[in-house]
Amino acid sequence: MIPPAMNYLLKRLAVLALTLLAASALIFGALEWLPGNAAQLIMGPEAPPEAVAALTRQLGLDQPAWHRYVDWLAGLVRGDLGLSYAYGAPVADLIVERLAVTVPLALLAMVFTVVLALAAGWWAASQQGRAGDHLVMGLTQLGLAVPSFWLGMLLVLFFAVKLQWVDAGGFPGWREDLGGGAWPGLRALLLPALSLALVQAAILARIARSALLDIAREDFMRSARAKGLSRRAALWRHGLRHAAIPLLTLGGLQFANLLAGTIVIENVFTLPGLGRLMAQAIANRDLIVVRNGVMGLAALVLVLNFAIDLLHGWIDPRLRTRAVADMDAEMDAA
Amino acid sequence: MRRAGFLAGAILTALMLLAALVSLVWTPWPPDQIDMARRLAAPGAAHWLGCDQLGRDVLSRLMAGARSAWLVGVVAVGIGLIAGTALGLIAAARRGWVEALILRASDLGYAFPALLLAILLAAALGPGMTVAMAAIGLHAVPSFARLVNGSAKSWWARDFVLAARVAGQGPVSITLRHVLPQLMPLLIVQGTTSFALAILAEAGLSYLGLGTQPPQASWGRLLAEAQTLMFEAPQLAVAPGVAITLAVLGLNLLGDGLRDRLDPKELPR
Repeated sequence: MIPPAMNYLLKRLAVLALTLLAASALIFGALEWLPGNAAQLIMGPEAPPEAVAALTRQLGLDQPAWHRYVDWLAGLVRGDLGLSYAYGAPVADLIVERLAVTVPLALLAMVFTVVLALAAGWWAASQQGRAGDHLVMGLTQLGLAVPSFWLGMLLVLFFAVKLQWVDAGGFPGWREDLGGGAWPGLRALLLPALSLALVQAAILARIARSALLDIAREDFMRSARAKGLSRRAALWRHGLRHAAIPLLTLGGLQFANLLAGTIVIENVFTLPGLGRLMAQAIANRDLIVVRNGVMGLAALVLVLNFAIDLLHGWIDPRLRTRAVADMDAEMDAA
Repeated sequence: MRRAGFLAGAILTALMLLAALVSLVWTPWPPDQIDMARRLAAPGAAHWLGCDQLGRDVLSRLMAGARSAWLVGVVAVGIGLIAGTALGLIAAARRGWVEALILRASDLGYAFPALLLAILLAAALGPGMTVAMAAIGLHAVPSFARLVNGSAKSWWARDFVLAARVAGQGPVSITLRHVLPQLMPLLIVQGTTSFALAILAEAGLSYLGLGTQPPQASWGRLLAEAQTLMFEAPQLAVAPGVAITLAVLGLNLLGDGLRDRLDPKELPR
């Protein structure tokens, strides 16, 4: 007999593995659909036929599609993703190198998002129906409508062009011996993270406000008020803690959005991250980089969702049994 | 307050539609007319919003950009709405493994933000407006499917549907005659919000060079062009961003207002 918690974990893992497999098939299929010869496309129409034939062999394009798919999967498992045509370097190294910019950027943006959203949501909830509430809600409505890359451009205009406090873009790197370091690196990520966070915080703040307003009606909040705490203090001391769990879960889902958002923002601030690598790979027709980059980002999102599901089940054990029952029903039906 | 929001949303949306429609027959200047003598001209009486790096009239290009935004938005939301609604209705009518398959497939869809889909499609087919439409549309399918499925299932449980089943109507007839009409308010609201998201996505894709291609004007492209002139002509970076923001804000406000108006009690969750 497998313990229920283990059963839950195993079933979730199985679903994750199947979804990852389906995602890989989808990505492979979409790029396979490409009209014409990929090698010709990469080298351009004027390339000599011998060179195209050589690249066809080098890319393994003379093999049948299923063969190449299995090869790719095996490579993914081994961490061998092949060579980038444009860079002449192993794709795995390129991606890992770029993730050192993209992941810190998304994390920093996440921290900004949560802090801003909780502060704004708490302030709005404590002022419900009054001017402060309307102000926050109006600002979030605006935040939902502003494209993050335009916000990034405005921040550059103000802080880099007008005030000249920071550079308009670029990234010095994390290593001090190469002219970068922890602080210069972080400084270069501040504006990009802020432009991503302001938009995401607008979504989260609206949800934080309504979650706090729901909690404000609970008995323990009335007790807290009866003890003499102001509405604002009661929401701060008791409300936020109760709202934090669902909000952090939602914030986790937003992290996936942030990862996708970095693709655009990295191009605004010319940061050498995964997004910029992919944009350049499309321009260079570097299909191996595109395939693995998309797979990497999709896998990150799927694993993140998996982790959030587990977190949910860990916080609320009732969800575990319910989810397993749902999955059993689905598998029976299938 | 809510009424004012709805009104503002309706007016902004109407203005944007008007700009797009008028641009089909008239713009202050031809949007593609190059005149180096007017290069980076400041806003004035002849050119209300000034001229760009090739001396093209910014207002005219903004109006032409509204056309691209509407075109991509309508087609993308159309794809998401039609395919998503069909899948959601089928899942609700058939249940069992069909529903499980459709719902699992839409879960998979969430792993692919519109941007990733666009990158895949642009790599395969080459960037362009079609890629933007397809990517944004395909990305909208799972959310429509899930929403429609949930709502349709609750309608399937109602007495009047049960009565129709007892009277011998088949699943197709029940779906088309009794379930789909009830979903209209939901679809209108979701369609409006999806349109707002589509306009944001189109702007992002065109900014990256994956969407609308030159010489066609698009708000995202205008911003990408403005970025290269940030120090010389910062004013160029303002108007397209304002246009995107107002269009999206208008649609969001309109969607919220419609949600309030179309009797939320009739929108089972």
